[in-house]
Amino acid sequence: MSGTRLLEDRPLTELSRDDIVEFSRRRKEPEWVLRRRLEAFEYLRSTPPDPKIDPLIEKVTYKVFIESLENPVLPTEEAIKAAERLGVKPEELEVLASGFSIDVDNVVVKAVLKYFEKKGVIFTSMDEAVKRYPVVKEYAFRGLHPQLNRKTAYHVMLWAGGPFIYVPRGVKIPQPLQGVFIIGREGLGQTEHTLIVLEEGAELHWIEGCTTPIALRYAVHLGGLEAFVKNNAKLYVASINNWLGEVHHMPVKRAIVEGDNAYAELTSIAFYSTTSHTAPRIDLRGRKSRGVIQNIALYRDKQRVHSAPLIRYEAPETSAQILNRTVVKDEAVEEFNGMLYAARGAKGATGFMSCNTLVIGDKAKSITVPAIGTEEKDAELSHEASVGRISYEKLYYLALMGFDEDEATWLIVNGFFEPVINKLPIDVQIEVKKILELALLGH
Amino acid sequence: MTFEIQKVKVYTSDGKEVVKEVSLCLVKPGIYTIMGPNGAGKSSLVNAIMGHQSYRLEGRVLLEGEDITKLPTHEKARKGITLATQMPLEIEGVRVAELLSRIIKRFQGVDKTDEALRIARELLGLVGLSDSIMSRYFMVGMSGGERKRLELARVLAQRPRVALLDEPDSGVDVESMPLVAKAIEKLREDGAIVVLITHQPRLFKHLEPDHVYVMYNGRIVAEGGLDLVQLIEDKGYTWIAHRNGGR
Repeated sequence: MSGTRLLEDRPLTELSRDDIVEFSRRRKEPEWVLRRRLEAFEYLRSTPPDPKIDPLIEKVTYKVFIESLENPVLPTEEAIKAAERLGVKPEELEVLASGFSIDVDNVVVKAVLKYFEKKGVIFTSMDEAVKRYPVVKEYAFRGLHPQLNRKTAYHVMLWAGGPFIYVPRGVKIPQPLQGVFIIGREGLGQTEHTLIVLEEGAELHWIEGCTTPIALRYAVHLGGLEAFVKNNAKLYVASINNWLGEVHHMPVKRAIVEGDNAYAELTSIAFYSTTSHTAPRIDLRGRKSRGVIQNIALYRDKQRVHSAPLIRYEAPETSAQILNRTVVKDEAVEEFNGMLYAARGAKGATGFMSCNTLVIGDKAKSITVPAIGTEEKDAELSHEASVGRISYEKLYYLALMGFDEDEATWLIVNGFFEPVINKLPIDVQIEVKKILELALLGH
Repeated sequence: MTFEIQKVKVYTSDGKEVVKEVSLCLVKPGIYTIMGPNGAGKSSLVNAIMGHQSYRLEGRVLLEGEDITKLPTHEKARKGITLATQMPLEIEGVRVAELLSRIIKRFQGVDKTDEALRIARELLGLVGLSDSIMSRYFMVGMSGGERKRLELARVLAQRPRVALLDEPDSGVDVESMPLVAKAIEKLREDGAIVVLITHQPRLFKHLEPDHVYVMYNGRIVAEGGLDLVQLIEDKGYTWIAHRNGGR
């Protein structure tokens, strides 16, 4: 047996330039998309491996990746069932004015949007959008550009599927659009790319759920989301992650708030993954623009989590918040390195970072290192952090009401999350509580 | 209905004996008051009965003849014995409506949330708390008096067979005192054995206890009716304790 392996057996970390060209050709992509993939490839070749990222991607082979792209494992019916696990009811798929997509193994199997299409809203798959809509070329991979970091470069080189959402000037979509991303088979690197563009005065709530229909032995989620928000536009994104089995969660997210008085909010609700490396980012480039990154998470078993949200202020009178509210139990370890950074030109920027963690058990750990940086003297940025445990007195008090320790813990944890959860859309609230109860009580 | 504590001694975690030997046998619904000065061991006794980890209890606690001494606190509660604590704790992020409806569903066999919420509102009304408190987080930001009344509503929601009430009147203003008394009266009407701990006689302007015990220095030193309350007001606890043998 020679040392040469078939192209398809190579790990995703060892692809050649020709492999990337072949990949793009198979997908019948325009030339500009291939160019972006190759830029990412060159970046990866010229930078040293990241010990936290590369070994996880290395375990996925090109063969598995391609097969799942071309033969999604779940038929539509099964995909809808999996979507229900994230709180999406089948009837919601047909509701007037709702938007919905299910993306299995990077292939959009269902997308629905009715009423708002007449107003110029575009809601389609990225695979389709790069071929049909010139506006995509203007924005795609400008926020998540190939030279941002290695994780983003892997995403750009390997992205497939995901939705493109374009909301024209002045159009406000009152009901959340939803997307579900499903990893349907072992070893797949789910790499969906979500691109959102909000024109002046537009408004959008985008809820995305990521899950697996069965407990997987190994899978990587390397999805990406980039958004562009113009003057007076408002974007709310909520991502719910609830993986089963050994899933490594390493999405890339960036919202560029380009417009004056514009707003972007990135909320992540994470319930389970084996490891998680997240670094959502908002860039505030419009005067008086605002940004919020919030993370609500329950880490358990032997989860290893690193989160490093970043909000970068680049314009005057901008304001932002980073809120991290997590529960760490069992033998899970959380490292948090959030950052607010006021660059030159961000005169009068204000911001606040709040990190609150509840630790359950002796082996769970949380290490919180918030950071603040400024190049402008009058920027007012601050942070607070707290790490606490559930007191015996509280468990005793709830026991007097008949709650056993598990029930009391669930109530306390639920209450700990509640001030953040109650600001989410009602459907998300209900579902998050349901998943939380399952995670803590197992029924 | 019987509730017995037999030869109960209570020790703190550092080994100090705070209740020296107390026996009570309560055989019918009613309000049984334990009065005594600060430090007499009243709160230690009821918390030890409920199984608080800071105390070690010797002796036996029997409910309807069943020895429940070693049961975990939540199981005691489920068997029908609970304690209204002296300082109810804040449960951040959990609304009054949610907590009470969960309790009502468990203890009153109610399935539907709407019905549980209706009962919760009724109980809150009984203790003079308005509907708006339902949407507030449990005990969070409430005044001392509101907390005590909410705590009694919580106990009522459990429909206990035995209700241990640890100073439900402390921190309650004069106007709210009749409401506290009304809630305790309701427990008696519902057939509960109420063990009411207090060290101030003012509650009895609104409520007549069935029996009064005086606890002093870890022991029951006197018992009687309302006349004993008058004697406490006139002479004080120390005088009563010394008159009864200086125990």
